[in-house]
Amino acid sequence: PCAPCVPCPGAGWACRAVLADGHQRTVRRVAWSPCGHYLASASFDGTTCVWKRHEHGFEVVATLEGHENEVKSVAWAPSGTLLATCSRDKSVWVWEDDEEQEFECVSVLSAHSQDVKHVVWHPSQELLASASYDDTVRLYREDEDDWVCCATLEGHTSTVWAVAWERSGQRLVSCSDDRTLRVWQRSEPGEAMSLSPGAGSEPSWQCVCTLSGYHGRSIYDVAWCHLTGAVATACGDDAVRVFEEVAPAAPGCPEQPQQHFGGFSPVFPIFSPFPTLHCSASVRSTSVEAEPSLRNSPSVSFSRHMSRMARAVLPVSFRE
Amino acid sequence: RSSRAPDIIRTIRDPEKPNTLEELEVVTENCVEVQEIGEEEYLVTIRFTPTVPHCSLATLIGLCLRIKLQRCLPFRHKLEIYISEGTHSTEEDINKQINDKERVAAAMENPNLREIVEQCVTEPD
Repeated sequence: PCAPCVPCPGAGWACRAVLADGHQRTVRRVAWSPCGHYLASASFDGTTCVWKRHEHGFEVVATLEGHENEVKSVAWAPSGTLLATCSRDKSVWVWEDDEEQEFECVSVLSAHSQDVKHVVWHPSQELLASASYDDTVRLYREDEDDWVCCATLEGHTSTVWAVAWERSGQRLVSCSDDRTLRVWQRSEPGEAMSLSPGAGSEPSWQCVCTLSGYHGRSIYDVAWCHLTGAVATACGDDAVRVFEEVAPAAPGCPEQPQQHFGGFSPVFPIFSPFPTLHCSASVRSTSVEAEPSLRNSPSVSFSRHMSRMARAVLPVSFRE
Repeated sequence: RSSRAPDIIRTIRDPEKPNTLEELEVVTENCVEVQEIGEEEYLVTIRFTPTVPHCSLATLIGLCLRIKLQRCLPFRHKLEIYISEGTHSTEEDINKQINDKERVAAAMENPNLREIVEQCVTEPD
C-alpha cells in the first residue's frame, strides 16, 4: 500500500546483490514472483532467467530459452505458476512451473505481426495482455489445454509500448508511440455494448476513452493504481503525468454525450489530469482534448526528475 | 569543432561507399530542422535521402545519424530521423524502426552493426 508521502528520516537502501552472470546483454525487465521468493529477468540476449532467493543471495534455477532475439518483457501470473515472456521475434511464450522450478513452455503464441513490447497478466485471472509494435493489444487465455488469442484491441496508430489492468480486470489502459492513452472496457457476450451480437461466447473489448493532446512524445509506460484508481504515465517528453477519473457531468451539461448506443445511454467516464480540463465526448469513444492554450505547455504535468517521492504524489505542484 | 547539427552529420561516411553523406547528398544543410521545445531544449529533425532503396542500408544510415548526433550535440535535445518523403517504398517501416529507441539500443548491441556504425561516425584525425 502507498504510504502518505512524508520523508522518512533515516530510511535508506542497501544493495544486497549484483547478479552479473545471468545474461550476456542488456537486462530489459525484472519481475518478482507473487510469493516473493523468485525473480525473473528478461534480456536482449534472448533468454529469461529465473532466480531463487536464498538467505545470502540469488541462484539461477532456470534459464528459459527459445525466443529468437531480444526478450522485452516477462510477467508472472497471479497464481505464481505461470510466466509469460515476449520478444522482438513477434511471439508471446507461456511457461509453466512444475514445482521443481523446471519451466516448461506450454504455448508459443504468434498472433502479433511485429515485435511484442510488453506482457502483463490480469490481476486475478489467467488472462494475458500483450502490447506490440504492430499497434495492437492482444489478449490470450487457455481454452481446453490450448492457449488462444481471444481478443485484438485495435485503435492505436503506432507502437503500443505498455498496458495496465484496472484492479477489477474489467478495463485496461494502453499507452502508445502515437502519444495517446486508450482505455478499453470489457463487455460480456450478449451485452448491448458488444459490437457483434451472436459472435459467440467470447467477451468483447471496446475503446471507451482516448486521451490525446496531453503527451508531447511517445508514452513508454503506464501504471494503474489498484488502490486509488489513478493512472500514471512515463513519457519521452521528460514528464510524469497522473490521471484520475472524474465524475461524469450532470445531465443537461454540454459535456454529456448526445447520442445513445445500443438502446441505453452509457455513462462514459471522463478522465482528466489535475485540474479538470474541458473535454468532449463522442458515442463509442470518448476523446479528451486539452485546450489549445494548454496543449503546448502543459501546466498540469509534474516537473521532471523529482528528487523525492513525496513530490510525485499529492499535493500537485504546477510547472510554469 | 562545430556543434551545429548539419556540421556534425555531413562528415559521416556512407556504410558502403567511400564518401561522406554530404558528398552523396544523403544529407544537406537544409535537411536539418531545429526547434526550441523547452528551456534550452531542442527538437532536431533530420530528413535524409538514401542513395539506394535498400532497407538495411537506410536503417543503418539512420542509426549512424542518431548515434553521432547523440554523442556530439552539446545541448539537450530530442531527435527525430526520417527518410525524406517519396524516396523509398517502405519509408514508413524504416522511419518507425529508426525512431524506436528500444530497437536502436538493441541494434547497437549487435557487434557487427556497432562496428559499422563506429567506422562511419568516427572523425578522421
